[in-house]
Amino acid sequence: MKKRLVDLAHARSGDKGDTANIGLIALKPKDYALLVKQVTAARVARHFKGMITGPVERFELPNLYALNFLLHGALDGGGTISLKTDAQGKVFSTALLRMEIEVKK
Amino acid sequence: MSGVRGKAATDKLKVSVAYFHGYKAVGTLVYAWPDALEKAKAADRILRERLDALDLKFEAIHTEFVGADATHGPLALKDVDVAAIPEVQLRVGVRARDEAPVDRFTREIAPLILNGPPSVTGFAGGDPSRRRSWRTGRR
Repeated sequence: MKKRLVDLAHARSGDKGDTANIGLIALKPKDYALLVKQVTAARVARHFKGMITGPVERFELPNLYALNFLLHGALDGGGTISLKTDAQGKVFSTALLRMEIEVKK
Repeated sequence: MSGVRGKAATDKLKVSVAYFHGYKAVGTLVYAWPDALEKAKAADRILRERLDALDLKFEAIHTEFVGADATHGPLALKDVDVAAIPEVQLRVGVRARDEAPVDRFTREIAPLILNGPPSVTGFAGGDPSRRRSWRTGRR
């Protein structure tokens, strides 16, 4: 069955230059492996298609049951110059939590 | 918490520098149900045609529909009955190196109230203000 990430993880995001970063943290340590397997950099890039202009990088933090994503070209040139409401990329976090992944019943 | 390691502070400081880049302004109008999003989109089209006709040159023009896509972009509108959205704020921002096109833009929001889609409000604050824009990091 499919589950949205909002039911499996929490997330926080912010900016550095024109890059947004999203920390995705498993609510339960047992679900971390599911995140590692399914929430890949390629999948996240597809999720944000049309919203970012550059590539996505992923870093694993197994001691925190967390993944950190860098979304390049996400902020319309960067926080100080951006015309976006979300100039600092604060809500890319919950946008990622809309993603659905496959879980065992 | 355990197993955390670190290093002593260095003798260097971190500096955050921003430099003057140009000018920007953000204009907003609010459209009410029904079809709030369609009305806001129509107003954006009219505004952009006006800016084109005036031959104004901007480094960037950015439109958002607050209440629909400003935070989550196209992801937000999946599975939403768009015609039923109670209200949408049209939010258009422009940026240019020169003051003149930005100043002209600030006078193009008010005409939409009389000449654009109906059930529009949120304009009592007057024309948008021009602001200076600052840039950090790499050029």
